Amino acid sequence: MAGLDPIIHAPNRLKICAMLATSAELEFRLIKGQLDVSDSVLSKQLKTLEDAEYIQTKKRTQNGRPRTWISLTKKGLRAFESHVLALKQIIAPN
Amino acid sequence: MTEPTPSTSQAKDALGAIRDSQQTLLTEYTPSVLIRLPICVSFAAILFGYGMTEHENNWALAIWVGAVYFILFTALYAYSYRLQGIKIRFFPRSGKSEKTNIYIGLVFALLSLGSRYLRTELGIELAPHICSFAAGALFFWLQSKFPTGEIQVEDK
Repeated sequence: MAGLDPIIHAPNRLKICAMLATSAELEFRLIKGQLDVSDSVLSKQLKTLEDAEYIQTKKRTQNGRPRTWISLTKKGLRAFESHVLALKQIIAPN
Repeated sequence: MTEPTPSTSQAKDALGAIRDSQQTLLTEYTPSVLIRLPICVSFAAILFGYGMTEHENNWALAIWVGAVYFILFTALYAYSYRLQGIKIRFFPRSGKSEKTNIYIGLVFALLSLGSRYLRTELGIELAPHICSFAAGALFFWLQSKFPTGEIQVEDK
């Protein structure tokens, strides 16, 4: 079905995109806490999204500690919005 | 990378997961009302000062004081989000939120101009009081509904 994106459809990646759509950027540890997954699992999911150019990550230092901030790219936002639309069309086809 | 189309119940579950993720994020991390309320009061003070100003009277000062407090508390609002790991968006990206912001901007502009025009041209002395209260209340409601400026908080 047009609009459905197999990269986004995986449950954790779907939640990551949903959370990122609410804000400009989210920090790695916040997403990790919300999904309740390990660092490695989250990194793997983020890598998949990053390879598809749906997200971008930036490393910044805050109070001397390195922090990773993640944001949805324009391409990622468009893909997420069309994925949501496609899901809605499945529920209410008319 | 073709996958079978999800069934209706799978699609419902996926949409439910999206909604839950977003709503949890929006409701759990909202800054304290002690930060949100001064933003709304200072915004109302700017409108009230504008409605009451005549040449260079003391109400012109209210605009400046209100603006300083508004900027300070807005920065604090963004900073408190940042500390929790969220960078908020002041100018929304999605088409729906953009439209909402344009309408809201028009309402604020009308309230702002109305508070002055109704008092100076039509002699309605309470106009700045009413318009600034309405603007402050609307701002507070918007902060509750669009805390990060992008997605709406849904009623439970």
